[in-house]
Amino acid sequence: MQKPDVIVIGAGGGGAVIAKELGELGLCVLVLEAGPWYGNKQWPHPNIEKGGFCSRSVADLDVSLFKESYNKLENNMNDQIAGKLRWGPANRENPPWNRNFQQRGFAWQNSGVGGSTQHYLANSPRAIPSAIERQWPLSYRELIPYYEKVEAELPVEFAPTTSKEELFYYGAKKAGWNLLSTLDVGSPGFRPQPNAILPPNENLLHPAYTEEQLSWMEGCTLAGHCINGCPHGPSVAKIAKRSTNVSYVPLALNTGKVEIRPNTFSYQVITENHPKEGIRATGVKVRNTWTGEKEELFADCIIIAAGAIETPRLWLNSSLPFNPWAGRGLVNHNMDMVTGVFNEIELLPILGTPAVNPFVGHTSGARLDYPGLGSIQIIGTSPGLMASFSYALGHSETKTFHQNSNENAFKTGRVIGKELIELMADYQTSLSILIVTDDEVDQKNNVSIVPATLDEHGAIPSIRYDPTRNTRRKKGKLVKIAADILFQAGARKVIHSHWPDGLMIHIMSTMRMGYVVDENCEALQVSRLFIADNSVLTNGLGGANPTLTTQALATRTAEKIYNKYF
Amino acid sequence: MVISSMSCQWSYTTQLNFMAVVDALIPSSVVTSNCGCTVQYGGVPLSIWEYLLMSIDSLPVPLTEETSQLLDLSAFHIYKKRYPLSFLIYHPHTSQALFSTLSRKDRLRAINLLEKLMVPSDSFPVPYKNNPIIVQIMIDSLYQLTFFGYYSEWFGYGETRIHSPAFSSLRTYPVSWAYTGYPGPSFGYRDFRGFLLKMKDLKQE
Ligand SMILES: Cc1cc2nc3c(=O)[nH]c(=O)nc-3n(C[C@H](O)[C@H](O)[C@H](O)COP(=O)(O)OP(=O)(O)OC[C@H]3O[C@@H](n4cnc5c(N)ncnc54)[C@H](O)[C@@H]3O)c2cc1C
Ligand code: SF4
Repeated sequence: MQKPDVIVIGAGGGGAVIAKELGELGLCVLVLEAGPWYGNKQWPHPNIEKGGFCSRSVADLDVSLFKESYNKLENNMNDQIAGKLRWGPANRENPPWNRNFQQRGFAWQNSGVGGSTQHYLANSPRAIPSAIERQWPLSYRELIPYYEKVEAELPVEFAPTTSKEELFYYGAKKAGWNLLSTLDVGSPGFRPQPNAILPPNENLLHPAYTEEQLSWMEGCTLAGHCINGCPHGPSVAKIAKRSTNVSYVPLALNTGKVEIRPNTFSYQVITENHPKEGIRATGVKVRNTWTGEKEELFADCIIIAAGAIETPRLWLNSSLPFNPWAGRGLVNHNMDMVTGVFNEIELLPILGTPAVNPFVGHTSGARLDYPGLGSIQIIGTSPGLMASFSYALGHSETKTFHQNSNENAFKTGRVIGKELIELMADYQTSLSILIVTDDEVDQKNNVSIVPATLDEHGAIPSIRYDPTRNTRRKKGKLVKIAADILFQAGARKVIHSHWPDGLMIHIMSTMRMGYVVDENCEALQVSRLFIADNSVLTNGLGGANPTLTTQALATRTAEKIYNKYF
Repeated sequence: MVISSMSCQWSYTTQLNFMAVVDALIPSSVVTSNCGCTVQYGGVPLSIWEYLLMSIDSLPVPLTEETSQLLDLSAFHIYKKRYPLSFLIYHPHTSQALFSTLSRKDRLRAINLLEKLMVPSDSFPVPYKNNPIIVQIMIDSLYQLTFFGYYSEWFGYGETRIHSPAFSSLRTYPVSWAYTGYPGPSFGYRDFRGFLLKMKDLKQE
């Protein structure tokens, strides 16, 4: 490739989108991705051997290879230390990349083309409008055309109802909540998740097709593996769950203007002091994760889309100008989990079947939004993930089940031994709800670097998150709402996991728009340096899952870059 | 009970301690159902202690030996409290696998004391020494990895378990799937119950 017009660092939720948009505008784009590329002929054994160097053709995409890699086994896929979808190099014999934590918890991210959207649940709600108005440098109205564009491109459709959604709707209605028939949420209520998942296969109920045949056709088969990585579809570009490796990446390659290099870690942004533009970005230093070879690459604009931990790390490790908000203001939706266990006999009249079967359907197909508090979202995963996230991840508490004020059996904290075995024996009749708090931005919560602890790419990031008192209050209210819905639906027991505050799943707001970048996502202090990932979000969007908004902004930023510099 | 010991890379005492952790969190037990009584194998016969050892040694800083020592120090703390007048002295070599000598209940207590930071940390091995957050994160990981390993397909990798994950493949039925009723990976389900909302209906508004 000749000198690219633009370099994009990271091919995840935001990076793949901006690469495709700039490619369509006719710019030459080089995408540098730290992790592997699954489903590409250039890397037939992506975890075992170095493979090719780069790919720029959609003809390289191979759905059989893709399905071979994404084999739906949760330990193989989701293990955070050695799984395929982890934060680490392609070679699984090497350890994951290191992070430092200043409180209990961990950061759950993926490296690789597609980034963390490989395991995301594809929940794609718009931000809560009241969280944007007067808090962001942009208005909600300005975002709407970009939301519409991304919703059409992915595409986004409301989740179909399976047993677990049906049970949630039943409980929510009984608890007095209304259905929200909107994408722009202004009042509390429940609704199906707007998901970046293709609608169910039209022949799903047609007995002439086997499930295996259906899994090679277009459309979701309700197989429930979204979190494990969805492999279902006739081609890479038509995989049902629209992670960016199957949505925006094929579209980017289709432009003929985009080249993607996996296994390439960017460890420093190169700048110069320009007489007219001041400090400006000119290039990137990179290291190949298989060979250790280093290289310097140059372009007219540099876009960082490395995610809300690595983007500030890269800024800090590049000795860019001091900014009191660089890395600061981290929010993570201060999450938690609440799980209800049901009796078969009570499920039967509601569902017509005696089971919830959490492994069926979209991993998360329904939600309740409550502007000012956040949201709650049902989750049904494979059993290892369920056991660890519902029952292992809390604090150990001595109390066992007790009757709450309404005489219902309620427990907070970890479950072990006989109690765990019994609860997991009820896996098929359990329903979990994720708590997603509209947490407050606090400058003390941040990603910094630990100069004394280096890995092969420089000082490692250190993560600090301590929720404000108001955030804790909101979370408590959401836990109550979720437990109430489960009890109303007939749960015989409810377990509140009590997750540690430092659990990072929605990682946002570490390079905030209006503080570190301007409303066009260009760094305030470094020209030609843009950011296109979750870190630019000015806040936690009122408790909406972040990716769609990041993608809408990346689409907008592409236009701004093109207009300003090309 | 057959303990598969394919792994000689960890000292026997470290193996004992990790077996003791897994056995405390998920013991083998008798489960009653409509069909009578059955045995549900716990984390030890399903080799989950090996999963823990492999995982913890695959971290950026391998920590199995240090973690085993941490558990012994907590066990020592319990013994010391119980027999205050005795001349118990902790020694990193002679006290190896002290944790595994505790009853199940006491092992849980020892783990809990570490989580609650109630064991003096100045004698902990590096990096745990005076570093309460790392101690707590490791205790959390012991729970999480045990539960995830046990209820996932890991046991099913059979003799390929000890390989690097890129070279392991399912060799046998992951028996824990039977304990939950999980049918395993699927091509699809036909539980389609319609849509509550459609995007096109909103667009028409
Ligand atoms: C289990 C789970 C479920 C989730 N479900 C949802 C959901 O349903 N909806 C939702 O909106 N969000 C969800 N999220 C969050 C979602 O994954 C993120 O919001 C989204 O992926 C963020 O996009 P990003 O571009 O900021 O970062 P990423 O998607 O993480 O992309 C960053 C990319 O940059 C690469 N990279 C990092 N550093 C470098 C470097 N120095 N050099 C080169 N490359 C680098 C990474 O390898 C990665 O590919 C979920 C998260 C988890 C853990
Ligand atoms: S339910 Fe999820 S994993 Fe299954 S086909 Fe649909 S999107 Fe893919």
